[in-house]
Amino acid sequence: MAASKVSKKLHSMAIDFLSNRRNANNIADIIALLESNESNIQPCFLALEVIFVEVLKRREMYQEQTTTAMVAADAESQYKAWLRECYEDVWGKLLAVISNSLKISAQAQAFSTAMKLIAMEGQNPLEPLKKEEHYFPSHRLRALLMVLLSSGRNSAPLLARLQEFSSYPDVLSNVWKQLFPIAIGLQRSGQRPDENFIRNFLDLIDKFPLPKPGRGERGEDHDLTDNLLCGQQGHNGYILNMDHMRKAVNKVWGCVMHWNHTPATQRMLLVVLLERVLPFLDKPLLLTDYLMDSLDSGGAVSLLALQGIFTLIQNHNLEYPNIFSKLYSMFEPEIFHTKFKARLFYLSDMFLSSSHLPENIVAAFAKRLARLSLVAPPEDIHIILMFIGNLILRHPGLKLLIDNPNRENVPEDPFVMEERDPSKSRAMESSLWELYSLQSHVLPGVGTAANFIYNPLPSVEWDLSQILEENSDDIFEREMKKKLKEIALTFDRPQTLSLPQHERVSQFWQLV
Amino acid sequence: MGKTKKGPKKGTSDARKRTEPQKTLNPFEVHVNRQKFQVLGRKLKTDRGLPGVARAKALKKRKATLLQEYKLKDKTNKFLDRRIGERNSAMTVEDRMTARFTAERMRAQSKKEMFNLADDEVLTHRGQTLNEIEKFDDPRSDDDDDDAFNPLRSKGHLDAEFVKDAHFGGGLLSRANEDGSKSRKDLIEQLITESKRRKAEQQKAREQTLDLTEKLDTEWKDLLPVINAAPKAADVERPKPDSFDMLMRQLKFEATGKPTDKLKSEDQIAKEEKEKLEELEAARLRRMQGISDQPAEVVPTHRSADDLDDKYVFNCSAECEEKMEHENDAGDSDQDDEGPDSDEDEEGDDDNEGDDEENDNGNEEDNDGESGDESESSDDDIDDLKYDSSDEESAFVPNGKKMSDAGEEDNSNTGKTSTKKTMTKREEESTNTHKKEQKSNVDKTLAIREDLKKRKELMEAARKELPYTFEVPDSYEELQKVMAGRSPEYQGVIVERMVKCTHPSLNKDNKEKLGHLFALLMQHLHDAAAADENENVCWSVLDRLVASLFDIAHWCPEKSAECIRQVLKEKQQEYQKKRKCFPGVDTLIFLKLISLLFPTSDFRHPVVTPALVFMGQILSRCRVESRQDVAKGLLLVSLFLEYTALSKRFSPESINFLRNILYLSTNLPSTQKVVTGAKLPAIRPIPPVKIFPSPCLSLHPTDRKKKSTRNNEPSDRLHASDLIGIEPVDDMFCVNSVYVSLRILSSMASQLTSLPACRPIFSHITPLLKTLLEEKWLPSKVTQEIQKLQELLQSINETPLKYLVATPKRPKALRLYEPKIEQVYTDGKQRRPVSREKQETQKLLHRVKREKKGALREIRKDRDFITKIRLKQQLKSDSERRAKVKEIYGDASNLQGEMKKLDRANKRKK
Repeated sequence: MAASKVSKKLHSMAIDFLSNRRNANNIADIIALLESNESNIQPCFLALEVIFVEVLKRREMYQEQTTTAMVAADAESQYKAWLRECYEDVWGKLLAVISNSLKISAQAQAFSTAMKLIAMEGQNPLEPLKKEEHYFPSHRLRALLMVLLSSGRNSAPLLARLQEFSSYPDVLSNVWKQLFPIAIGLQRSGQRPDENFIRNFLDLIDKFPLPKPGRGERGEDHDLTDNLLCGQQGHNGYILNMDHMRKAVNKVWGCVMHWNHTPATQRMLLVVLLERVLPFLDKPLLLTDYLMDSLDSGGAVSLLALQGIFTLIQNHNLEYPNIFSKLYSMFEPEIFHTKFKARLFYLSDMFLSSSHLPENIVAAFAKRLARLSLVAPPEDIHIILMFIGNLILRHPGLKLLIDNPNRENVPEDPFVMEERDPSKSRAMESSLWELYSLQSHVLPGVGTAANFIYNPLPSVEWDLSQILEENSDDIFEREMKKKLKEIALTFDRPQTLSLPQHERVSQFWQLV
Repeated sequence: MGKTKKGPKKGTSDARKRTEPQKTLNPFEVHVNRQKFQVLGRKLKTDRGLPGVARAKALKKRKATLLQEYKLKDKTNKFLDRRIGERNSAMTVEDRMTARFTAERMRAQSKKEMFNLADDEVLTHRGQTLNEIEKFDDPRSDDDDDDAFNPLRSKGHLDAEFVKDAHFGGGLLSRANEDGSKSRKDLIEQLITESKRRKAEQQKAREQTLDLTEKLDTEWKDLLPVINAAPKAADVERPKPDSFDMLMRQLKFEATGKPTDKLKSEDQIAKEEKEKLEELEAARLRRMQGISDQPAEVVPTHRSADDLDDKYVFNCSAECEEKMEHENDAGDSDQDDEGPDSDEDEEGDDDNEGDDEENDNGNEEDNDGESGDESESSDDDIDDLKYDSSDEESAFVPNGKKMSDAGEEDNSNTGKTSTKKTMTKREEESTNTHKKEQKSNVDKTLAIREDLKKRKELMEAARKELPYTFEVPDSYEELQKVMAGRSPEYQGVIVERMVKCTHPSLNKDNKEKLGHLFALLMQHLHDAAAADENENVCWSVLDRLVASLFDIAHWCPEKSAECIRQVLKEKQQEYQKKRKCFPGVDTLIFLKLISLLFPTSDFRHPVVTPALVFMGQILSRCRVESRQDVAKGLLLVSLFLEYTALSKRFSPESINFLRNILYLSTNLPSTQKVVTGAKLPAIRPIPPVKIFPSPCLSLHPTDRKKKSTRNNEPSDRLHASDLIGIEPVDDMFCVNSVYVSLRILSSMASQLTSLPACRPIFSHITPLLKTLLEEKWLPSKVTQEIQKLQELLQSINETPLKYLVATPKRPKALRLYEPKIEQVYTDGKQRRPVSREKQETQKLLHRVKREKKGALREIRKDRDFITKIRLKQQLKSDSERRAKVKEIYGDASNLQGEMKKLDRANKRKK
């Protein structure tokens, strides 16, 4: 009740202020209240928003002379100056709240107030404009962005709010314009951006739409007057220059690349790069070195880097001879427990889709995957089995791996698992004993899937995309859905916890 | 003459109908389709027909239907049937009649007839009033009796003599010669009087018989009570059957001895048991290989020309079998050994059981004497029906140990112990338990025996204390009321008695009740496992309940399986919420229960397979962060081992987990510094245990206690209390867990020796073992275990690998030079092997085609008929018009003629 009373009171104060200049001190009261009590932040901001939106609309802070030579002491201009001071003060408060407040609701309120004020200020500039040009209070936006990015924590919810404004072309272009000075400013001042900052920055880039490639390619300009955040009356012909935006993106990206990245941010950077930025870069080939470096760092980062290189090879004529050994070295048991497993299988399926690859390389892949299947969880064994099946389909020479009647017995597997170079792993001399062993996997699904080496191979490849995203819960569900007509039971009546025959648990456990 | 003109009697008309001559076919009307070839035995429907008759019939039908329609075409007038209820199909004919009758009566009630006094209409039937008929007098017809004795006259025929005299001139000539006095007129008069007299006589006779019958009837009625009374009196007089008679009758009607199963000797019973077990085992093996009950071998449909009739079929199944056989040879020839041995063992078992049973029965009889309750006697009955009578002796002893124990004790009993010894040997071989352990086992088993004795006493006490009958509770609360505060032994007895009292053979609803009880017991188990944080009652609860659960599961397998599946599903969903944490004992206990109730070796089983998936999920996902996690993981791994003990299948998850345990017990985690994933060391754990950041749990004892751990002998078995609580890892636990995981590993390795990929499966273990051997803290027992495992792995490494060979393709059949012979039947039907559905569709299609043809023909004929009628009408109207025109012309010309005549006459006048 108290809160609603306060907000009512504040609202009436705001109305009083607007109705009569005698109540001018209301504004000072509100600001004081804002400072005094944490809980009153939201209603205070609302009241201030009401006041300043109206003030801006009435242009009460509008100053003709920008030169301070005329320090006319008349009451009107003094009042205006005082209002300006108050306005700046409020802005400072808003930014402080956004960066420091613990309450998300307060932050959100401050943010929306700030955006509204920006819009009003853009429509009603505080100072006379030079020409008939579009005015955008970019210094305010820059301050806001700076606060958002360097708040020292993950400000994803506020960035999501900002993303809502990205449908205004002027906001979009101004954000991109402002990002570069922020980035370069940090670099110049010698500061090292911390992890949170980078995370927020990348998040922002990820969330903010880039110029659409269809239009952006030709750098066409668009007249988008009707859909502006700060569209002034009387001014028309706001032009969104795609070329400028592309340039801004390129510049920003150039800065981001040179920061110091932790593995987590590097992964994020690569994801953003691959999924958003790469098509807009002017010279993507310049990324090659960077990708190469990340390729060696192992794990998910190298996988993402590999994807980048693949894109470069595919679209930008990059030549990279060693790519297969890099891909080969990526198949380690740890890969099954990363988020990017599906991506790896998808990518390697693409890489190995060519039927002109040397057989021994492909065989090495098949053999290595088979080895991995011995430690993999069942859902991955499914993928691996189909993958190997597809490899054999594409390269009929690999049939030797599952059907080699001419060889004598060998004392041990000729395949060298530790070898980094696929062509030297002697996989063609080996045989896929692993698949044979998988036929006696505990799960019947895996066992039957591994049976393919005994059946004639199909004429069409297996479709990997359906099972790439499968997880073990799906397998559980599927097994639960299967219902046999008859339910078999044991025929030895147990008298105790231990089985009458083939008891194992009680050899290792004393449970009773 | 008049006599002959008798109206047709009722009988005659019937006779005429009956004797209506079968229309003989006019041979000129019959059309015969001549056949070109005559086939014996073939019947054709279409070989002869009556085209004229058929056409006439069709025409008639058309006239009745099509013509009527044609006449009514384009006419809107309608004939309305206003009869009451004629359109209403719900009314029967009688209803309609009564409705109409009432309507008529209503109409009759109008004013006009209000004063009509004689409104009582007399209803008649055949001229008689209904009242009269209702008297049920014999409505005799006048001509039914005499038929019998005078057939000739019966129907008013004249007799032969009269005919001879009177007809055809009546032999006038002869009479004239004989006697001329009698004229013809006299003769006829005489005839008439004669016949009248005869008629009168007949009438009289009839009346007499009528009177007589009536008289007889009345007399009979008078007699009736006398007749009826007589037998009753006789009944009273009948002498009572004496005891001898009764006995005799009884003996006479008593069923002679039914053929029963002959009494079997113990040997035979044992043999039968054995055979049954073997059969069940064979079924299990089939399921293990994933073969359904249908015959797997498909009889080859094709035989090539150079088939040698030796039943040799070159196909994949044979090949597979060969391969399997080969592997069995290549492996440690475990299974081959097992075959004959196991039979012997089972025999040994049976013998034992037989002995025990005898003892038990004795005991129970004693009990009966004491209690002498009705309920007890019913219990006794059930005992016989029970799946396997309870023998407490073997109940408490874990199998293997009991056997070895028996072996030690009964040395004097040579016959039995020999088999038992082989059994123990085999057990050891298969599980790789060692001689050293055996010694300690003996000590332990003695201790356990003591323990068991105590327990048995406790059970006896429980048996005596508890009431003998228990109702199956309806709700979980009721069950809790019964079970609350009881020790596991008591709970076991309670449930056992519940099950006995609701044996399915006692009442048909009992099965349902038992199914419900199963669900309640699941809940009980769950709560027992979830509630105890400090004590491990749940396992002993399961221990006691398992026998009853087994019985229930055998009586209602579907319901219990469904129940456990539900539990599994619930547990899995619970686990999904916290993927990285090991689930509690309340989940593990069910996984153990599954292995007790369901055959875990099946290729696919509706309960076991989901459980395996779930277990794999837990092992491959959960983080190992505490002592309890290690213990739970090890329990799961040993469960995996138990599940796959028979099927010898392989689960990567359990081996990965053991690898991680071994890794954590080395000092590698503390020494290896790995910062990024770029270059991984050769020896490393597999996720979920991560190398970077280094794992938070270590099973490696801290430095200063090295010596103390060295001197500690590891215990063989982990304890259930390791699964719960929050105790941290201590040194003893480190040693124990390493020891147990090593032993599990070695039994897994010996299970999987037959797999060609056994080497890569265990390849990560070897370096770990090497580093473990270098460690100083391990007791000698553990190091020995390590060495043994190393040897085993080494031996696996030495077996040569055979290259995979695909199943060779079936050789293509040579071209055959002999003709293809097909069986041909003479009934003209094609006997091609087509499926039933196809046959059906073919038949239907044929029928549709025929029907279509027929319909088209009918339509054509209809059209012809209509055109003919139109033409006829046209002709008729034309001729009419012509006649009219002619008439008019005629009239006109007449008129003209008369006009001319008149003119001419006028002219003439002038």
